[in-house]
Amino acid sequence: MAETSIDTRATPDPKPAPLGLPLGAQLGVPIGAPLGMVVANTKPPKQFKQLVLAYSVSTLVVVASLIAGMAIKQWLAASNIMLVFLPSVLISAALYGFRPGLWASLLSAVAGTYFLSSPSDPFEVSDPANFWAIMIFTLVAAFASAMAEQSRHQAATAEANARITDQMYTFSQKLAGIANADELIMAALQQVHSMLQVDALILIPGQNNELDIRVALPDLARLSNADRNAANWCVEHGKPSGGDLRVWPDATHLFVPLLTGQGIVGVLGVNRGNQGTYLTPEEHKLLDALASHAAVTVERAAFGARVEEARLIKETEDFRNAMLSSLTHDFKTPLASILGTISSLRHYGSMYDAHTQDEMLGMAQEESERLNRYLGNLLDITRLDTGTLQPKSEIIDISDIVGAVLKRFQSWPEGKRIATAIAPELPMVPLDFMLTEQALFNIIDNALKYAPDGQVIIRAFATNGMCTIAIEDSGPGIPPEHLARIFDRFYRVKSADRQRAGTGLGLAVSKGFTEAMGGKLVASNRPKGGAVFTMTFPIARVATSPILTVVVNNQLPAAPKAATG
Amino acid sequence: MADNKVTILIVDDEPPIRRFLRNTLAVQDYRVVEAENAEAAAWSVRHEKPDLIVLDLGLPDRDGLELIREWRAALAVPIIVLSSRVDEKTKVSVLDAGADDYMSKPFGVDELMARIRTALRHRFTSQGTQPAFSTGQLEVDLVKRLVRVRGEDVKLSPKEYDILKELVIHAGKVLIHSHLLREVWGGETAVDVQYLRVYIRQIRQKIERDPERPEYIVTESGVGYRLQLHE
Repeated sequence: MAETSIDTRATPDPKPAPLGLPLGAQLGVPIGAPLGMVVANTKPPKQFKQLVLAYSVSTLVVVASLIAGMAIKQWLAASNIMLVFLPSVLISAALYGFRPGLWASLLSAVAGTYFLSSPSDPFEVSDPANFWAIMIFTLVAAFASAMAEQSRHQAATAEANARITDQMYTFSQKLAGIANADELIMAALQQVHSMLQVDALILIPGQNNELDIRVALPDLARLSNADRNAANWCVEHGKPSGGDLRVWPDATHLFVPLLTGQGIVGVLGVNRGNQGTYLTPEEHKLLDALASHAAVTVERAAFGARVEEARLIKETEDFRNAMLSSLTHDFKTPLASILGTISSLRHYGSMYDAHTQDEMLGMAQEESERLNRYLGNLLDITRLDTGTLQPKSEIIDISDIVGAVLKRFQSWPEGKRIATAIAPELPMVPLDFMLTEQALFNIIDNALKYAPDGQVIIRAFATNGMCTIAIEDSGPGIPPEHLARIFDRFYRVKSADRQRAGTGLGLAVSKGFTEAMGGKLVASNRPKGGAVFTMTFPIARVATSPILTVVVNNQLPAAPKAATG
Repeated sequence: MADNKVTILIVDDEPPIRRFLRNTLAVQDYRVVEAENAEAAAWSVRHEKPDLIVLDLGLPDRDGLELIREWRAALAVPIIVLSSRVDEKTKVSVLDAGADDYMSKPFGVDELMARIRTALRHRFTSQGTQPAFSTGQLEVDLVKRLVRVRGEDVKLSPKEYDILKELVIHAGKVLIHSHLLREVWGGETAVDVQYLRVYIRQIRQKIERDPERPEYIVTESGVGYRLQLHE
């Protein structure tokens, strides 16, 4: 492959890069100057203009001092005349640094010589004392220039540092507010991009430990081979590579490792143009700071993903445990009653009187029916899960369904507690009769169980093109912390009292069926106590049929009509 | 009239189960007391003085295992546990906590009645230790250290005899592995269930007609062994 020639260089000691002249040196900025100009302005035209400006202003200031000196000459002692030039030197040094300051002091010395010389020969200093005054002035001026330059740099450094600290602070605050892993990493990259004015990318080891581009600004599909090698070297050795460094110098990007307590979590690559990436020492420092921020960010994103994964695993496990305990309990309990009863009748049947025998057989029957209902729910859930459920869409009278459900509760002692409030002239609704009946049955069954005393009211009414069936009970209501999960499979609200718990499937089936028919089922608590389950179905489709168009004008609550028994 | 009847407390939150148990026990002349949760059970234990407790492990208000430990610490009443949980860990912990027997739901009442009779016999003969024990065609004389099967003397090694003796003392009850190891090997901690299996096989070869289908020493899978009583 094309990489073979490059691979030969993938030795522990890559060939040294030609030592590039630092940008600052090329432009006449002192290399050893105190750190501070973090984002160095490296564009030559602007730099040149600034230099011209600096020396022009310095010259003008000295000329101004000269004019001022001539004006006040008669009031000054000859040896003090040099003091007139000192402010000009200090101004130049403070504004433009050491070199313009030095320039100003030299100009001042020349001008001072002119002042202190004899009128016959302008550049011949007559008095040796005056000669020494000029010499000392020049030294003092040079020294003052250096001092001014230094303080100027310190101020600039402080300002730049403050600006960086401010940016980094804003950045950290921004990161703290992001939860999404992709957004987090993108935010870190954007920060690198804007603070260093570079193209940037983050590489993260993927499968087989190959580095993949996680994000890039601007978007980048793949790296060149030189860059890829440099990045791999960076991960292997935990040291920067590429760019203006001696390792992998022909990589266009500069790579720094993203290091955390866990080790290397990725690589940050920056690129400034195609000719290679040169950063000033200050920029290198900033890059390191940004890289450690990015490393923490990448790690946090990875942690987030792991937490999410663990949560999913735990949820699956919880569900399995709930399912297992439900299957065990809800199958075995009715079976235990049935088997116990049958074996008792078989062994001791002759000892029972007719009434006890009948009672026991009746109970065995009830328990068989309970088992059957449970199996039915389990099958219904399976139908919902496997997608084999195909609801019919028949035009159905709600009161017809309610009647069918009430019939199923007729033989139950609890059935007496069910009351209905069906609005008259209720429109027909396109539904699957069996599914609606089962959904309603489960909700009512649940209400009777969890509200052991008082009435369970079935209300049905129509408003705004929707038909609503609400099942209200006067029980303790649903604890708020359970409201969100009440329709979950095998989820049961544990009641402290001795109420028999349901199977944890009924409501899940009700919701599944209701939604399969295009309806909605929600649970809530009534303000006056007790729970209410509200099923709503659209009736719009039927309303287009001329025969079935019904003016919905009856307002609810309708008065309870009949209590069935 | 109820005074001389044996009182059995049924603790189960499922009314149908209580009902068939109550009917079945009542026709056999037991006095039956019912409790639907741990709280009611605690009251009955104090006021009804039951001779035996049938306890469902899955009560709504408290963990059945806790109840067993509590009662075992204060009472000598046999406890038979009913549960729909079938894992061996639960069984062992229930028996280890001091329950006398364990039955998985669903079960036939004849089996439960046999276990109830066994447990009651132990209660009324205090530890059930009689010098001469016999069930079916197995006779064990604990004083003379003699074992006879189908009329013939059986020679057992001392360890084999110790194991059989322990099973005879608790005849009809499940003895968990750790119980047998503790009683027979005492403080020797290096001994494990594997040893026990080997000895049980040897005893079976000497006393069982068909060691693969034992009549006397039956295995409770993953839990322990029981000396089966033949009535």
